[in-house]
Amino acid sequence: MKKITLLLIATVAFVQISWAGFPIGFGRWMLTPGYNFYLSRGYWNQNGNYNSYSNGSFMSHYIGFSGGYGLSRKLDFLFTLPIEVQIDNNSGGKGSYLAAGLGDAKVGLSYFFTDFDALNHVCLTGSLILPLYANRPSPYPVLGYQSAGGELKLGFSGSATGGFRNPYYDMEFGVRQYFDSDGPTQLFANITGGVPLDDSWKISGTLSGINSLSTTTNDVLQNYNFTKNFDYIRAAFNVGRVINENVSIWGGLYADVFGSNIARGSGVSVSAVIKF
Amino acid sequence: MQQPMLHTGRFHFSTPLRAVLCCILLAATLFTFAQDPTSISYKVKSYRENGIYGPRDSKVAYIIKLKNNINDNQKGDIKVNVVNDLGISVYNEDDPVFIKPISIYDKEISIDVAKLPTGFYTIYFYITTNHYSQTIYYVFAVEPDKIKPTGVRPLDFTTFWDNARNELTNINPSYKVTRRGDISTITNDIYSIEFQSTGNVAIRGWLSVPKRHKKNPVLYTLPDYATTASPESRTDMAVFTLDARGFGNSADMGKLDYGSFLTKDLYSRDKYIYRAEYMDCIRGIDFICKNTDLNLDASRIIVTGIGQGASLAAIVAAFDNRVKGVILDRPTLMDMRTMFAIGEVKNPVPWPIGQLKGYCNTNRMGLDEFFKTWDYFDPLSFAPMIKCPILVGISLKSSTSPPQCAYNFYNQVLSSKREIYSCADNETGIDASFYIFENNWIKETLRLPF
Repeated sequence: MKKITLLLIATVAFVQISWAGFPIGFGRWMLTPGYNFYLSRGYWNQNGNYNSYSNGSFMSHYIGFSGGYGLSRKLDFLFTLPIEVQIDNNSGGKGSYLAAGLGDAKVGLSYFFTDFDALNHVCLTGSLILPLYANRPSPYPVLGYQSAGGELKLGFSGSATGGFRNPYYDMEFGVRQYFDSDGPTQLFANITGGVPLDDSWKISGTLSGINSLSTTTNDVLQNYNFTKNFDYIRAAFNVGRVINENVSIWGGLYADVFGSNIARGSGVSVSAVIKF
Repeated sequence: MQQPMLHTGRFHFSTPLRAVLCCILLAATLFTFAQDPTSISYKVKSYRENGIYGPRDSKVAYIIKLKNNINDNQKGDIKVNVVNDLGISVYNEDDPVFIKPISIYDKEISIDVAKLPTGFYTIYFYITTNHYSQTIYYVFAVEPDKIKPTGVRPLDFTTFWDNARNELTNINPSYKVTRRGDISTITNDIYSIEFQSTGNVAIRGWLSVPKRHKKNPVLYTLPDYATTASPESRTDMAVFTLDARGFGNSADMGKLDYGSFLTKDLYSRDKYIYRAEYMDCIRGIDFICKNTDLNLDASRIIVTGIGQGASLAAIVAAFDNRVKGVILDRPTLMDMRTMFAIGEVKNPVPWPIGQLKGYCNTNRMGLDEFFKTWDYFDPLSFAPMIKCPILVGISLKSSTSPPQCAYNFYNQVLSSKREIYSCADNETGIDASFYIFENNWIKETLRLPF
């Protein structure tokens, strides 16, 4: 389960690049299809010490269709529809297993407290998490918690005019609650800073973290697929290329840098931002 | 015994005179302290940041914070006076003030909205203590969108302008486009533009076009009063700027200046400079539409201007449905009848009232006669003709671009998408936030990417 959770966070990471916390605009669409590859060869135990899997690895492919529509100048509708392929290559010494299918869909609304004349924005986003799958029994990897959930986050974003190439920032702080009796409840944060190198190229860096809390205190070694108590921090670096005023493409690398009771992995992501 | 200084030398001061001198010295000292501008620092916050109070507001309110910066008690009062457009006082309040050293006094001044008819008001705060004296003022409006529209549109208004447009149509525009490599940039091609307009006068301007393969929307920027145009560049839109006839590169007919343009040939509505000036601006739209091979998207034109340019933009939008949006930034020379009514009670009387009255006096033209001519040219007469989206930016404290006039115009625009952006506390310009709003408004209106 830990890996699945990581994948969900990876999704958040590239959506972060796409939206950058700014209003979409009244009557406008923004679509951000993307692909993430994730590979883990070890894990952090409950004390935060890293150990390699004895014989194998865990990997996943994630294809996400995210998007949004500007309902007004201050209100955006957001959605995410993921397709996941989880491959456990004998990471637990039980052989290789694969699970594929739709993941946790997300629909939500973002309300911007700031006005149409602001360079910096504050927004509150509320989302519902809807599982679109049924997990196969162990030892198959799972596609998610198979539980509905809700998410509430506060975002701060903006750009500077003047200064060094008009840098921008986007920060999100939120809580995610799965509605199972044992949750989990997850506190998360994403902090992104970016700068255009010229009219065509942009770079950005993201630091994201999550603290997952649950009454179920599985050890990562006891059950790889159902860890609900964990925490980690991930760093990502992305490069964006503006194709035209409506389309840009992003590619990036990310890696988990700290954690406990969770797999440590890294990966690559590719996404497009299409505005119309 | 040592003689007092005042008894020595040539001068002798009697006791009464000494008393008078002491009084003068004391008064001078008190006066000096009273004028100490640093003894109090103040902040005033309006209940409505933009100064516009609507039907949901039960009160007009200001919170005044005074900070005593000195080591002495300050005692005095705040006198509040609210006056209407015509300078008539409609509300008074007097609040005593006592502020201990290095302390803060705050007070909410609130006025029941029900006591204020729809309209514009100026609220004065006269702050006086034993060390400080200051007058500050703000302008606010109560339900300005409900102010009864005024304006006089001449009966033959349509015929008059049909004739002007027919005259323009019969003049060969003879467009000339010259790429200026010397001032083009890596991102934009700059062109100098020339065309013929009413009276076969050559009108010139600048066009900046982003270097890209797709067609560019056009921001058509019209000149403020007595200014000259220069190339202006954006990377997401072409920008077309124009020199008014008699100014900059459009002065083949002879140069005009600040004092002469407004009243040139005002004696005749058929010869008045603005008749030709309006046609010049419309010919600019013709230029854009006829020269789309310069990578211009004629289906996405925004026309804009500041001051006089705003009024010209309103005229162009009224006449020409090829305009997809119009932005008026602090329009001047708009609703001149209201301008005179509210301007003449001000001190000093704002431009252009003095200039126009001077012309009328010199040429023995009565004000009624002036208005009869001006009504053909007042953008107010064109307001109901505007059907495209419109954004109007106003500064409530502006006396040359009075918000009252802009609102009277705005209230008569029939466009389904119209917005007004009000800046409450800017005497000489407009808040920078307006330009962020304006930029987003352009993107929204033309469906450009945010």
